[in-house]
Amino acid sequence: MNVVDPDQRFCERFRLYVDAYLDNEMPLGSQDAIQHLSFCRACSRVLAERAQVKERVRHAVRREQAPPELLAALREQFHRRDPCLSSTDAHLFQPDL
Amino acid sequence: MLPCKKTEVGDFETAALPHMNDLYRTAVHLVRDRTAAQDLVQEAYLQAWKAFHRFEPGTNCRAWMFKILINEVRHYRRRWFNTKTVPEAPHSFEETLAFEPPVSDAIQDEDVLVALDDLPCEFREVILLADVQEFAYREIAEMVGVPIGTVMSRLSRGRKQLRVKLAGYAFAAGVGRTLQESRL
Repeated sequence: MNVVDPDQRFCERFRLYVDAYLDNEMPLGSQDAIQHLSFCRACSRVLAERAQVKERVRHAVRREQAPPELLAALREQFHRRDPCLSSTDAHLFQPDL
Repeated sequence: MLPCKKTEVGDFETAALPHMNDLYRTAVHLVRDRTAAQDLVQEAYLQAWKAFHRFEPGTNCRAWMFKILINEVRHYRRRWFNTKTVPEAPHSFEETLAFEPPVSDAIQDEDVLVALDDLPCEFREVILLADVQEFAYREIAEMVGVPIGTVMSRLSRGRKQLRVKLAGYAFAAGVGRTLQESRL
């Protein structure tokens, strides 16, 4: 008969939820998995490493900026398609950075 | 018929254009081609503008724009590629506790982008929407057209593949920690 270490059982349970925890999407009834994190060094380290990768992806992708010609093309598209939009409305096109 | 009132144009610009950069970034990594990404974002804006009379003010315009973009990307893929989907697989306990080498701090942004672009498109899609755009699982499920459980499964598997690729790059570059160190 296999004897499962209760700590390992909680580790398994937390690691099933680790991505959801990272995304603030923990399901109801998963409180025990969250409590486990407060005293499990191994799971805390897993969480920290996954958070680091998530942040690295976010940072790397967000460095990309749309080229100015895309904004110009969108403006042109709307001016061409909508005669009610005057050239003085161009200032309204202010995308975030 | 296109909406034509000046106020509607202004409303559309105010609601939709602030998301242009985020839409472009997402498109670039979904199709891995900057020129195609520009065309897709333009097409998404055109479709959104045509449908703007159906958009309910006060609802989430950003999620609406992303849903239109994802749809455009689907059409693009169908047109140009014979895309293979990744079979969905349930998690196993063996998988959840399997050892994974840690990702080195020395990994560069360029390595992260190469690893991301190398993932199957279903995984890349949910990672971009969750990690970069920070949409809720419910919103991603609605955009991608799959159940929330599938979003979670793709995220988990995609992130795992990403970590393994990044650890591999670090190891190849001689900057990763040794296996023994990382187990401590």
